Parts: sequence; structure tokens; C-alpha cells
Amino acid sequence: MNGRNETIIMEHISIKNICKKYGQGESSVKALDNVSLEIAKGEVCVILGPSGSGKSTLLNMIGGLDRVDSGTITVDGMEITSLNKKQLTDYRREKLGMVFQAYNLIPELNVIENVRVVKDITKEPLDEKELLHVLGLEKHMMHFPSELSGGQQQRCSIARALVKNPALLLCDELTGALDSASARDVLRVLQTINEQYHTTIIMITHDERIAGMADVLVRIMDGRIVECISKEKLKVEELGI
Amino acid sequence: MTLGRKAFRSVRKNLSFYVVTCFLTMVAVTMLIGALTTAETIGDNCEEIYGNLNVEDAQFVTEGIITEEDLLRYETDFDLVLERQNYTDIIIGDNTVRLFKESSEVNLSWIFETEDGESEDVVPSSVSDGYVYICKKFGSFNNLSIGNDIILGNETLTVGGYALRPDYLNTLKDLTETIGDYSGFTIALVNDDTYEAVLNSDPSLTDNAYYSVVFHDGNKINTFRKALYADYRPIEYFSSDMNSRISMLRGEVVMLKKEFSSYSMILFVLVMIIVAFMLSRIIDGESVNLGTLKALGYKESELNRHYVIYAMIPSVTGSFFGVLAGIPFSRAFCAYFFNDVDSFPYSVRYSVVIMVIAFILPVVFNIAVSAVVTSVLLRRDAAMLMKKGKTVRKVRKLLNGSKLRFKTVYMFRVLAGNPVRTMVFIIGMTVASMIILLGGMCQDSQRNVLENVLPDMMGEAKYETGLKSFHTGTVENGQTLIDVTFEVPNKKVAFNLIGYDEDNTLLKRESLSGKPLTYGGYYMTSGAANYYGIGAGDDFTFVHRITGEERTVTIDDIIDNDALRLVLTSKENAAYLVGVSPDEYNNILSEVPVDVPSEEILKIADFDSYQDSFEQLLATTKVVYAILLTVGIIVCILMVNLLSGMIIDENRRNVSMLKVLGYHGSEISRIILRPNHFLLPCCYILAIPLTIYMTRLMMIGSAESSGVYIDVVVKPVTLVLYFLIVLSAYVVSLFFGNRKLDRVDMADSLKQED
Ligand SMILES: Nc1ncnc2c1ncn2[C@@H]1O[C@H](COP(=O)(O)OP(=O)(O)O)[C@@H](O)[C@H]1O
Ligand SMILES: [Mg+2]
Repeated sequence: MNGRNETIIMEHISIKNICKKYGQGESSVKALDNVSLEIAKGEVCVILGPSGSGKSTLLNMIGGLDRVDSGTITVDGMEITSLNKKQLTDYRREKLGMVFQAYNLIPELNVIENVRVVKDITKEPLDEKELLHVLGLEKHMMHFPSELSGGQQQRCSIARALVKNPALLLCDELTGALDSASARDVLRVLQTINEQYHTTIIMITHDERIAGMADVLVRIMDGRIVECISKEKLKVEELGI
Repeated sequence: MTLGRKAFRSVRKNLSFYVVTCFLTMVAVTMLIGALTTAETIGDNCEEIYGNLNVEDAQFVTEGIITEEDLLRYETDFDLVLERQNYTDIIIGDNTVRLFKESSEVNLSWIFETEDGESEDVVPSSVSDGYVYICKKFGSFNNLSIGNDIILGNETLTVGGYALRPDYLNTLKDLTETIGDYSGFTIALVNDDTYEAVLNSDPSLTDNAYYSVVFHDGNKINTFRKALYADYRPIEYFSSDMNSRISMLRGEVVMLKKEFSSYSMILFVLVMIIVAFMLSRIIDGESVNLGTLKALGYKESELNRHYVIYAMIPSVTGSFFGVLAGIPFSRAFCAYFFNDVDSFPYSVRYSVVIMVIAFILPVVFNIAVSAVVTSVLLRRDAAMLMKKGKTVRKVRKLLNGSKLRFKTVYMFRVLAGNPVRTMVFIIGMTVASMIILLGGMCQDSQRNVLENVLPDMMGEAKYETGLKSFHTGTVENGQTLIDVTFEVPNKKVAFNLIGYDEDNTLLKRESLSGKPLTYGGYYMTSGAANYYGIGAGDDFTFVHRITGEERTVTIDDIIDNDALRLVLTSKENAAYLVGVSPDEYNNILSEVPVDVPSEEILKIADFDSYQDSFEQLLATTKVVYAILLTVGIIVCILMVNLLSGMIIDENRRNVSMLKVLGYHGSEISRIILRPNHFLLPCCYILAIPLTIYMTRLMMIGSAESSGVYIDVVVKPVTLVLYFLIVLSAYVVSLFFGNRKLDRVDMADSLKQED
């Protein structure tokens, strides 16, 4: 890669001084307190932190599901904190894939139909059958969510997120409800996707074991970033230097 | 009680359910009170007028004058009151004043307004010398106030006040009219001397007379009529049942009671269905709480009582507002119905009994239905109830693997997933469409009479000239008929027997099946056939109206004519049945007015006047249809609102997820509310045959009282137009649905599944 491309890619996601407060007066909670973060294209960013530390809040801000009180978030050069509702919807539709701990599949639709929900509104979708094959769901395409295990459901929701080949994939505790074997499967799929399509992935967890996947590792506590370690440093740590 | 508070809190949670049931109850109660109060008001005021003023039971015309001795003899022999009625028609410009000599026994006058003011007491009044009393509406249309002078004949009289005669309550100039022409026609009342003076002042005025009779003994009516026929051969005989000047308002009372109580019942039943459905939903949603309460030792009956409150809240509120709204609505409704007749002071007769019944009825219905529903649902044991709250909702896995778009598949699964909800929607929307369509179909059917049936009615003829007595010979430009009214045993409405010459060209001489009529056969119009229930080949028995003789003939075929009740046959047959010679006639059909001395003419019916009066009839029914249309639209909006609220509620997580996935509001609406989009046209189509059926029932019902059967006709344009109305109502409710969708939070989908 040449240097010029590098700089553009480096600015894929840029979060500057965002704050978010819930509630008013005495009972108000500072969910995010002056958070800044840069993530480059194709990186896997893992956000670690205890429950209630503000991880989901941060992810929802990036996904445009909620609004910041102050600060800016820029994705691909687009300042999403100043978009209106319709523009935010378009942003999610075009750029974003999201996966949650609760799989949120539509119970009335079978696996392949759930994936088509997203495929239908995508300009250049991936082939959903191929994707389900990659995710190991080829035998379950006609099954309904209620007939699937947790891991299978989560893979289906990943397929739904990926069918649009998103530039950015946001995952909130996606292994939270899975046993460790299923969790490993799911993570392996994400790694493959990241390598194959250079999808930027932001993953939230309070599970330290996931940290190994990270290019960037962020620790959050009480709405503040307390540690931010980049790939090089992580490699060094891994090597035990 | 804490449980009680819970019920009230549920009002907020299920607001659209309460709004729908409350509104429907209110409309049903208001309509019921309005219609019954109006019926009561019309009935009471009319019967007061008819009773206090000795309205006639029948009237007849004889060729000669009945002698004083005969009058007395009839009165004593047959226990009746008989009085000669004299009038003369005075033409003033375009207006006709029918000047009556004040009567003293039958059809007394009621002067309800003079210089001294208005009086509501219906008491017979007498008229003073030199004064004339006229109809109030005519007075105001023609700027004739009390105290003004009016020239009748060549006499100048002073308007002494406004008055009415009970036999002209519906002030029709001719009985062929349905609605009086209040600006161009009035009756006027004067005393004997003034009547003579007016008559003598202008030699062109003719003195007309007929006899009015009040029977005190119903059993002697027929013997009287036979005696009368033997003595005086009357040419016309009308009982008050057939005299729309008297019977019209009585018919309206029957119609109001019948139609509106059935509309209200339909709404009550709809409310009951919705209540039953919503209640089972609420109970299902709370089954965990219920299980807990049962486990805590609450008795089933206590819980039962608690849920009955749910159903009582909307019905009591709806009933209450229904009764409140019923009072002004009754007033307006009475004014609307009394507008058809001449104006006179009346009081609206509010009845406490009616109001109490209308108030209690929906409450009782709803309590009954909720008691049944809850007792069935609460019979399950506590453990089972507690488990039930956690069940994932059932998904019908139909159309799995089909090539249909996911939106379509989703719609069918949502519809099948909650069949009760789907049924309630279908019932609600079908009823709403029916209410909306009903007015349109009635209007179409009536328009059809105006545009197709009436022009066809008199065949090629434009004028029909009825004569007072039978004549012989020929008439220039005219074709002669025998036309005599016969009665049918046990039927209120009579028919006319028409005898025509073989060379008659003006009558329509073709049967329903398209065959030409055979001269000498008996043919019945479809209007009569429908009313009497006669088909081709049936025997038909009828009674001579004046002699009381019974005859039976076989009807060969039916002629297409819904507007008139006739039996057509050869002049020879008719002459035999009537008892005249075949070369006699009493009716002339013609394309141009015929030249007959005016004193021999009983009535001239021309096609235009039929059409005019029918058109006026249409105008008055418009308000009823407007009410129906409004109610239908509101029911439609509320039903859609209720059901889309439920669908959205059940699909909150899906909606929320679709938002997260980048679906725009309108796209989500198209997916989630698609079941409604799909059902709407289905319900409308379903409503069409049902409404046709209902309209037919109504038309048969009204034929029972009015004698005119109106065939149900629906124009495709109307179906399209009313679909657009239903659709617009739907779009309005969709607006509310979309707002609800809008309010669903995206964070809903992030929450842990429980
Ligand atoms: N919608 C909300 N309303 C009020 N408080 C909220 C809301 N969402 C999050 N919070 C609060 O903000 C803080 C951060 O929450 P969250 O971002 O969900 O934490 P995490 O995902 O790290 O467990 C918590 O204290 C939580 O109670
Ligand atoms: Mg969280």
C-alpha cells in the first residue's frame, strides 16, 4: 500500500471528545465522558470494560442509534453526529452491519428470509447462500429462529449483517449468550470476514479472551477510556517483550 | 382496591381499545336514543293530532250527494261518524290554495298560532267570520304574516293565523306526491259563511266534495262499505292507511324503530366482539400476575370481577356520552323528520325508559361477554398461568421455502400467527365497509328508480288522466283504460287492476322473459309480484274495494315494473271483475294532455310530477346516509388504528430491528402493516354482497310499510367511489399507525431477550 492511501484509510473512524449523559439532576449518569478514539480501515477494535461502563453507549453512538451530547464522530469522512434522522438511516443502510447479544432475528422469517431482509435494501449485496455456507448454516436455511441453537442464531444475525458487505461491523457482546465452543466458531467467522473483505470491526465485550483478536484494544471504565493499545504494542505484549 | 387501580392504569396502556369501544358504544347509544325518541315524538304528536282532531279513517267520493237521512242512518246503523267535506282549489299565480269549509265532526282544524301567540295544546278550534287560516310554511314562503290580507276568489280575507287539518298533516296537493310543495300549495280554512262568500264571488270556482268517516266499530266497516256501494256507488274509496297525507308519518315511526335499532345492534355486537377479544389479550398478557394472585389465594370470582371492570369502563363511559349526545341528536333528528310535514309546534318526547335501556344495554352486553371470557381463561390453574407469560409467541411456519418475497411471506405468517386478531380485523373492517356502502347502495337503487324505472313506468304515455266516473265513447289523442283499485286480504297495500284494449300502444306489453303479452291473460308488475309474493302461474286472490267481493285469477306472467303495483288484463276481463261494461272507461293514457272537462277529472298524473316527487324523496334520505357514512368512516379509522396498534405492539422488536438495519419509516410501515393493506380490499369485497343482502332486506322492509319495492342496484362507479372513501379513511388511520411506528425505539432491539 502506498502512503497516500494509508492516510485516508487511517481516518476511517474518528471519535472526538464525545460526551453522553442520561437522565437529569441528581440521578443523571455520565455514560460517556470525553471519549476520543481513532480506528483505521480494516482494523478490529475490541472494547473491553465491566458492565455499565458505557461500551454499548459508545457503540450506539457510532451506529447512529443514539445522539451525542457533545463531540463529533466521523466515519469515512462523514460527520455522522450532524446527520438528520433520514441521513442516519441511510448511513446505517449503506455502511453498517450490527450484531447484538440478543440476536433479534425476525421470528416469523426463516434463516434465508432473515438475511434477505437486508439483502433487499442493498445495492451490491453478497450472495446470501454462499455467505450462509461460509457461516455453516447451509443446512438450516429453511429453519426458523426458534428451531436454531444460540450459536446458529448468532451466525444467522452475522450473515444478515454481512450480506451487504458493510464497511463497518459493530458487534455488541455477540458471544455473551453463547457457550465457549459456539463463541469460538463465531469469532473465527469474523476473523475470516475481516481478512477477506477488510471490514472494519468494532467489538464490545467484557470477555478478556476476545482481546486476542484485536488490532486495537480499548479499555473503558465509568465512561472514560483508561487504556488504548495498538496492534504493534499488542504483538509485542504477545511476544512477551 | 389495588386491583381496581390496575384496571384504570390499563386504560392508558390500551388506549385505542378503549377509544374504539367507547366510541362505538356511544354512537350505538346515540343512534338508538335518537331514533327511538324521534319515533316516540312523531308517534305521540301525530296520534295526539289524529286523536284530538278526529282524523278520518277513510274517505270516499260519490257521484251524487248522500241525503241527510242516509247520513244519519249510516251513523246509527254502523256506529260511525260521517261528514261531508267541501273544498275549492283557488289558483293564485303559481300557487294553489285549497280552501276548505271548516268541518265540525271529522278532520277538525287546529289553529296553533294567532296574533296572541303559539299554543302547543292540540285542541279543535273554530274559525271566525272574514278570517282565513293557512299553513305556516306557505305563509313564510310567501311572506303572508298573521294580519295580512289575502284575496281569495274576489273576497278579501285576513290571515287570522296558522292552522292544520289532521288529514293534511303531510300537506300533499296530490296523493301521487311524496313530499309536499310547501311554497306552492296550502290548505286554507274558513267558516261556512266565508266559504260560501268566496265561492259566490268567483263563478270559475267549483265546489268539490267528498265524505270522511271515522269508524267506532271495526267489524262494521265492510258491511258499511257494501251498503254504501249499493246505495251510492262510490268511485273512490281511500282508507287512511293508503292515504299518505295521514300514513306517511306513521310509516316513518315504524321505519325509524326498525332500521336504527338494527344499526345499533350491529354496533353493539361489534363492540362485544372487540371487548371479548381485547379482554382475552389483556388476560393472556397478565397471566403471570394472575397465576401469582391465584397462588396468593385470590378467588376466581374476585379476579373475575376485576376483569369485568375492564369491560365496564368503555361501555359505561360510552353509554354516558351516548346518552348526553342523544339529547341534542334527538332534537335535530326530530326537526329533520318533521321538516317533511307542515310546521306546527311539537315537543320532543324524551323518555327516561328509553334512555335507561339505551344506557344499560351495552353495559349488560359487555359484562356478560367479559364474564364468559374471563371465567374461561381463569379456570386454568396457577402454575400453568405463571408459565404462560414466558411462552414465545407461536409462529406459523407456512409457505416455508416459497419463492415469494419475504414481505409477503411475513404478512401471511403474521396473519396466521394470530387468527383471532385477523378475524376481529376482518369483522370490524367488513362492518365498517358495510356501513359506508349501505348509503351508497340505497342511493344507487333509488337513483335507478328515478332514471330507469320511472321513465319506463308509464310505457310510452306521458299523461294519465283519471276520471271521477265511468264514461263511454272515444277520446281524441287518448287510449282508454279501466283502472280500479282492489285490495288483497291481509295486505296493507292495494293494487290497481288495469283493463286495456287490444290495440293499446302506450302500455308496455312485454313480460320479464321478453315474451309479448297475450290479450286476455293476467299480468302482474314486478312491484306487485314482489310485494304479494306472487310468481308466474300462481293464483292471486283479491277483494273489490267497494263491493267487498272476492275474486281469484291466475297470473300468467310478470312484467318488469318495480314502481307500480298493477295487474294488467283485457278490458273485457277487467270490466267483468269491476262490474261495468267493456266499452266503459275511467282512465285515459296519452302522449299529450287530453281534452276532458275539468270537473270530471279525478287526477292527472304526469311523468314529470312523479319524477319530481321522487327526487324530493331522495333529498330527504341524504342526511341519514351522511350519518351512516360518517359513522362508517370513523369505525374504519378506529378499527384500523386498534389493529395496527396491536400488530405494532406485537412486532416492536422487529420494528426496532428494521430501523437498526437501515429501513426507512415508510418501508417499515409497508412491511409491518402489510397485513392490514392486504385485508382491507378483502374486507371491502366481502362487504359488497353482504351489503347488497342487507339493503335488499331493508328495501323489503320499507316496501312493507310504503308499498314501493325498490330493487337493489349497484353501480360499479359507486363501488369504486366508496372504495376510495374507505381507502382515504384507511390512509388517515395509517398516519396514526406510522406515528406509532415512529415512536418505537431502536434501543428496544438491543435489550436482552427475556
Ligand atoms: N437509555 C438509558 N437511559 C438511562 N441510562 C442509561 C441508558 N442507557 C445506558 N444508561 C446508563 O449508562 C451507563 C452505561 O450503560 P451501557 O453503555 O449500556 O453500559 P455497558 O454496555 O458497558 O454495560 C449505565 O450506567 C447505564 O445505566
Ligand atoms: Mg452493554
